[in-house]
Amino acid sequence: MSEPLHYLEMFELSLLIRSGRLSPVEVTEMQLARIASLDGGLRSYATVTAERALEQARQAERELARGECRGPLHGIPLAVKDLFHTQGVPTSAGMPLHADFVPTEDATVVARLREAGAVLLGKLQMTEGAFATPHPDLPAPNNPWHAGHWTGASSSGSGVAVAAGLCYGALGTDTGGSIRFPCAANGLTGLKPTWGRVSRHGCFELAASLDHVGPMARSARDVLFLLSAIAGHDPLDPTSLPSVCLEIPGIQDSFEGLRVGIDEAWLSDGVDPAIQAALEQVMARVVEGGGRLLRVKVPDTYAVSANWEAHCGVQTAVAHAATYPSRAAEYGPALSRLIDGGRALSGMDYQRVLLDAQRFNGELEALLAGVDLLLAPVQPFAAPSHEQLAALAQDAELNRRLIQFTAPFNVSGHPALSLPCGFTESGLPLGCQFIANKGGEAVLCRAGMALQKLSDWHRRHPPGL
Amino acid sequence: MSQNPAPSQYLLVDGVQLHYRELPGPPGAPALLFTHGGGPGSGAWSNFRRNAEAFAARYHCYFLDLPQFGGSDRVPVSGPVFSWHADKLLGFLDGLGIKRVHLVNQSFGGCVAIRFAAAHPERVASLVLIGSQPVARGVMQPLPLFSKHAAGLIGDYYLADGGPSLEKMRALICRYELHDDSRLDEQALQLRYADSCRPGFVELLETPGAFGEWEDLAPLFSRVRAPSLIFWGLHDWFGGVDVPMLMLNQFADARLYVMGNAAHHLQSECPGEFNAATLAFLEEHP
Repeated sequence: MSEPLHYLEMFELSLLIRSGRLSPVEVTEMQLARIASLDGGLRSYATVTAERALEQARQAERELARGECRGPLHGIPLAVKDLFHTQGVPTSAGMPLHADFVPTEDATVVARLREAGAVLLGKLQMTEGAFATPHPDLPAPNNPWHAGHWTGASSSGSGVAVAAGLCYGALGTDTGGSIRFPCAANGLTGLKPTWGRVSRHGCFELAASLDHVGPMARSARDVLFLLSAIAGHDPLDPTSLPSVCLEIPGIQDSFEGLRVGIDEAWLSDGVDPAIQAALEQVMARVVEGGGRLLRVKVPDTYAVSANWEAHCGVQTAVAHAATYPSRAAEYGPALSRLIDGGRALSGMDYQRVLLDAQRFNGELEALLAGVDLLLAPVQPFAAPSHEQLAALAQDAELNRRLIQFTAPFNVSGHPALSLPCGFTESGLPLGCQFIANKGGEAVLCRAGMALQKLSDWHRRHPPGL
Repeated sequence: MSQNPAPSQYLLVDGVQLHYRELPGPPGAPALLFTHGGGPGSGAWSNFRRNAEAFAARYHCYFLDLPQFGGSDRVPVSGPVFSWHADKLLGFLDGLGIKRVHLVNQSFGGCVAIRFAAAHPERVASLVLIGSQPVARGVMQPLPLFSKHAAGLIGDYYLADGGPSLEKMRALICRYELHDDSRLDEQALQLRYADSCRPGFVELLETPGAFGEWEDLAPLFSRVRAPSLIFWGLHDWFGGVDVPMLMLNQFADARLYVMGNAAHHLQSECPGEFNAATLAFLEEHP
């Protein structure tokens, strides 16, 4: 293994731990030391739970010494976005208003990671309430590839910490692109599963029908390990789907027999040339790996991406009814604007939003009956700077374009896997995504592993870290 | 959480990359390892996918592809075949820190497990065998496995008529492994076919001695001390019920379960009955 210890993939680290060649305590101490030396500048963690993490690592070490292995996550240091409830550990969802909130129980996904033996290093920074920008009073994480560039939102701390080797994987949430944007911005692999595949119990809500909990990691294989641990029905979340056996079809890391839909007009609609060139590299790998490219026509995404703020805003207004408008002064401008918009929307206008969503979902289902995967960029803009992002936030049309490849699949609930697919001329990572039919997480991970067998974009790391 | 995917994992043992999958089961669950038969395209997951969920509710399940099979490296075997594979099995358990394990095995994998259990009794919690034939001949008749009718089984699949195909695999499974063709597991068929298309096996067929030397394990039977449950399908094409009787008579603690309406892959043909009988046996022998 040529990678430094802090950049190993989870399955590589797991073998070292299980065979007794490396102790979970040593790995946890190494991670805590890296956080102490690097996170002052990167600001990816909201809370570091060093003592708890060391205690969990010692417990993992004792269990492994007794021959009690809990699986591939046993003893692996992970972290979670600061909107998952963690018993006895502050959970503020990027909102100063919740700075003193200490949950009395774990979110289901946190409990499942603990059952799988993972070591939880702490809670990761995020934008205010999981919307677009950080609260003005809170420090924003810095992109480890280049501090002047966007980290992606809203799971920004999750993206930064995994990319910088400050944990081996993380959980995020995705309401309009919030797992996929930080993966693209930080050179990571992340999955927005089918809506309902992963429990939302104990997860701070942005918009109930658009929120998706999912894993972020440094490879598709690691994403699959994390998904295996957290997916499945949860009686505490009645909207979670029945458990199914998500068998990996065929040979795991091959495109053999897979049909990948390509809509050239859609892929070039306002998309930067650097991203278009990167997508062509991905298409070449699909063919090289035995897959087939099929020309398709993606249903019109304009309405669902233009409607997204209204769709989200109504649901966010409901989720925040206990604190907004009563404590509106404690909110930042972006989240206030979202909620105000939602509160102002009429019932009839919201129904129009829902009708557009249903139409898009039906048309997409029909398309995905004929192909296994759809290829798309994550965002049309290559590695935007903070200044570009600030401009986007002020312009509704630019903002629609930013989310045009991500938000439609939050609206429809289809699963999407974000993958690194190249770099800009200045060395900043670019991201693409595969989209599959509902329940298609296994085929997505298979495609991700196939791509990562034929490329090394996921094996590159921020310079100097 | 057996309903979730069991991703591919790999472990390097003596320079051989072994492929396995894992369903961790409940926290602290005892380790249980599945191995597979010796037919074309065999692998632990395709052989036991219909049993995985029931076992993972109580056990920490590993699905190991032996060298030359499934997703593991296609490398030549040298020396006595079951001893060679048993050494790799030992390396696998050591590599994952598994101190004691229940071994559930189809046919060829069962022979490896018997060789392992005879050499390392302290590592084996119990032994479950399905249609395994670790002997040179039966009590009253030769093994069909060594007859001229079986001689071309693997070579014909890989080399004749343009090599592997889905339809050839379907015909092979129905003819040699099942009693009732309607109980064919279509997904296992797809997996078997896909694994049979991986590169490297034809080269092994063309390399003299690449499958090692056949090993008659009968002299070691009395060294098998682990509680054992032996399954046999009455319609097993490869041998009669006299073969498991040889083991039943010489293992220290064995019982035999014969299924009347099944053949070589009875765990796939009758998963409910196989799961219930095996889980009850395992419960009695923790």
